[in-house]
Amino acid sequence: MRVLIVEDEPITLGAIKLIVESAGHQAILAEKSEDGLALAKSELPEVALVDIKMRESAFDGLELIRRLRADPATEDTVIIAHTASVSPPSIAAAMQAGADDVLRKPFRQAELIDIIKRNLAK
Amino acid sequence: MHKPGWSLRHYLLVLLLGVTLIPLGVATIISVWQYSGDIDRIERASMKQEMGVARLAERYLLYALENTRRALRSIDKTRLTHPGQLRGRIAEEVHGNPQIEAIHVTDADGKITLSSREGEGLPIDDVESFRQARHSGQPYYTNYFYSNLVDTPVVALLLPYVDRDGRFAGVLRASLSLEFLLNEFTNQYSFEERYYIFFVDRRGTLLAAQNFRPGRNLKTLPPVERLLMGEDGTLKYISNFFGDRVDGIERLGAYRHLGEAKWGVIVTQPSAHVLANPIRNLHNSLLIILFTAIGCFLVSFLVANRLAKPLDALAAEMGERTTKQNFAHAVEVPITSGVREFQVLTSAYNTLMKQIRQNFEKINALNSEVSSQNALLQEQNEEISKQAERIQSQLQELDMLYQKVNEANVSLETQVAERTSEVQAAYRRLTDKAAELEEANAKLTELVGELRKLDQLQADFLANVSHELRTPITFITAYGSSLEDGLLGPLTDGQQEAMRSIMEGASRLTVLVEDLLDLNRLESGALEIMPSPIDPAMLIGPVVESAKALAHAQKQEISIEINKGVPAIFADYERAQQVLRNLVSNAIKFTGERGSIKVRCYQAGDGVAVEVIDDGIGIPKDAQPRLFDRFYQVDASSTRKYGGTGIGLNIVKSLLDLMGGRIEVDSEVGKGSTFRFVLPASRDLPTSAGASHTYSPPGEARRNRARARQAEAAPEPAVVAAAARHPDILDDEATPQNSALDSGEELVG
Repeated sequence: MRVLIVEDEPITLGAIKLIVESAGHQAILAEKSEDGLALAKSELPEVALVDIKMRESAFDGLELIRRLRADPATEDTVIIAHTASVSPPSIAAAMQAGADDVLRKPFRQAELIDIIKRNLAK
Repeated sequence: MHKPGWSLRHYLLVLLLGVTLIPLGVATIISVWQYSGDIDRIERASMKQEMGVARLAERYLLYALENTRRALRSIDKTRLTHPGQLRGRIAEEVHGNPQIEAIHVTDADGKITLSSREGEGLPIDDVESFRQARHSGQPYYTNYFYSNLVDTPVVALLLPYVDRDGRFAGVLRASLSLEFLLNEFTNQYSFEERYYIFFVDRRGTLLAAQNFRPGRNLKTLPPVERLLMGEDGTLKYISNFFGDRVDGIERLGAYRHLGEAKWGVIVTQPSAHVLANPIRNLHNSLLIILFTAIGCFLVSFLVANRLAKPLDALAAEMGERTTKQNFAHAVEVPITSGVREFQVLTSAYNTLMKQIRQNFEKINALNSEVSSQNALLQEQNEEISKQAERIQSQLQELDMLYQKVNEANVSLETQVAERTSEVQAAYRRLTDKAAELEEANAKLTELVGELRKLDQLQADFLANVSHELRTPITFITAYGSSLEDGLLGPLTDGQQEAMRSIMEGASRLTVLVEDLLDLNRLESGALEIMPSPIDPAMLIGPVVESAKALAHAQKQEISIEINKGVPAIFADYERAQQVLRNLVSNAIKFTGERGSIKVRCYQAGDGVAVEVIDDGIGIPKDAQPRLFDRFYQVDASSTRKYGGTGIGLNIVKSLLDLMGGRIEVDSEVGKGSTFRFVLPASRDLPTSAGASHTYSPPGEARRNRARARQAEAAPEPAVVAAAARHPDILDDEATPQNSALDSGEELVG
């Protein structure tokens, strides 16, 4: 699978890349939301891991998720939001924006692989 | 009321009379004026006529006198020539002149020598005339005298004669009868019906008149007066025949002197004769005028009446109504006048009166109503008066009370005055204090503002800090777990051990960050509690399950005891789990090897109690009150041994407070501790996952989106994933400790 990773912290981005590639997927990286959107449209990954916060981007992760869903090309992408805040309102916001699932930070590598596996299975 | 005045009738009368009588008056005046003019004219004409008659009479007389003179001269001539025929001559002349009554011849002494009648040898009877004749030597006309010779009053003509020598030798006297002449005259002209003609001598003695004896003196008769004054003329005078003004009638007279004799002739007639016609005309005119006037009077009267009468009736009726105000008895005035305005007036009046009468009747009806109302009011008034009296007496009582009160008042006033000054002093002190307080307040407000700012800074700081702390923790955990799990190759034992420690570190850091955030949220009130009915087993089970690994690692036993029939707990699922987890974790931490921990659950009143019982080291009594204080640690040294920040129990208490619960601790040093918390029981039954939060299973969102696209419609069904209940999904509250436990489990192996 091709997995788009949208994460503004570069080290975290590297960690996720390691995990995803260890699981046999291809990792597509984006440190900014707008890059993520463009890559999603051009690469058409099956999975997108989107950081909700995304500081210093033109728009935040929620908006990215909305746009992915709005575009027919990318609307079927499995989108997993990841965020440090997993309060019910935050989860609701992510799901409402169109995420398939929400992953809490910090996470262990197994948890990430698992959530991807689970959401791909549907 | 009316002013005294004339009625219309009078005015009309006056008007009509005026209109008619004025022309009549004018006619009268004209008639009279004309009449007087006529009279004048007629009188003058008459008098002229009389004068004519007088002249005629004069000529007649003068002719007779002329004849007489001629006769005497003839006799004189005969005397001279044929004295013997003298007597015969005299007789002839007397016979031939009817006016001569007698002729007498006298001698120079006045003795009658010859007479046609008697008297010869006698002296002449009118000596004065004889002398006059003798003196003048001219014919002399006598005045009237009484002759004793002929025994009648006579008037004579004396003709003196002379002898051959030319000396006076006597007179020839012819006594005349003027009556005869007058008769002749009047007969001839038939004057006697119109005029009264008479002769007078130079003294005014009547010589001849119709039907009257001569001899009377008429010098008082106005025409005779004038004659005696030597005048000829005409005049209008009033007298009776005798010259008296009394009983006199108005006469018109003409008077003339008769020739040489200077006797007078008077022609007179009553003016009435002359004026008879005009007078009669005037009378006729005046009569006509009078009758006309009477006629006008009558007509005016009738017309005025006719006009005024209907108005009278109307006026009377109106007067009656308005003066006496008895409109109820108004009667209809019949329209009797032919004058249109009066008809209109009368009918209008009738209409009005009818209206007034009707109104009057209405008013009367109203009046009687009002009277009855008045009677009622009267009664009420009396009632009120009685009440007033009662009130009056009460007022008097009040008055007395009032006086007493006044007296009390006076004494009070003095007291009040004293107090007032005290109060004023106190007030002044207060105001000073208030000023001080205001200052202090201002400072406080400043401080509060600063505190708020600090708060905000603190919140921001914490938010930032938490995020900043989380970021490194995230990749530490990610990489660490990757390493631990062999993604970068197998690890040696030592490396594994090292990784476990690193992960332990990350875990603790996470816990700390979460606690700090919780603390922050609790402090700022941002922490949300979303209670729902929870099955106690669902609350306790997972927590104990997770703790088992760590407990067994310490060779501890952990068990659950939930009473039958315990009701559902009404609380926020995650937070309740957080509380329990904290207590269980503490129990494990502070209990030695081979210790036992039990979690019990039972109903307590209208709440549910959960106990975590351990037989660990216990808590000293003096530490127990401060146990739940922030940053409180029983023993500072225990931090090194057992870890912890002292935040946990503080958060536990705050959370329980927020959920409407409470916490207690029973503990004795060396005997163990029992932490008991009580949460409200739920009336409702718990929902299937122990929470009523709507949980979205994986894939549901995807399926919902597909459905939505098909339906073209609505936003995705409200997937309010209030809490991810799937145990694999990490949430911000519960899992740090889970992670810790997990990692603990890993460490233990």
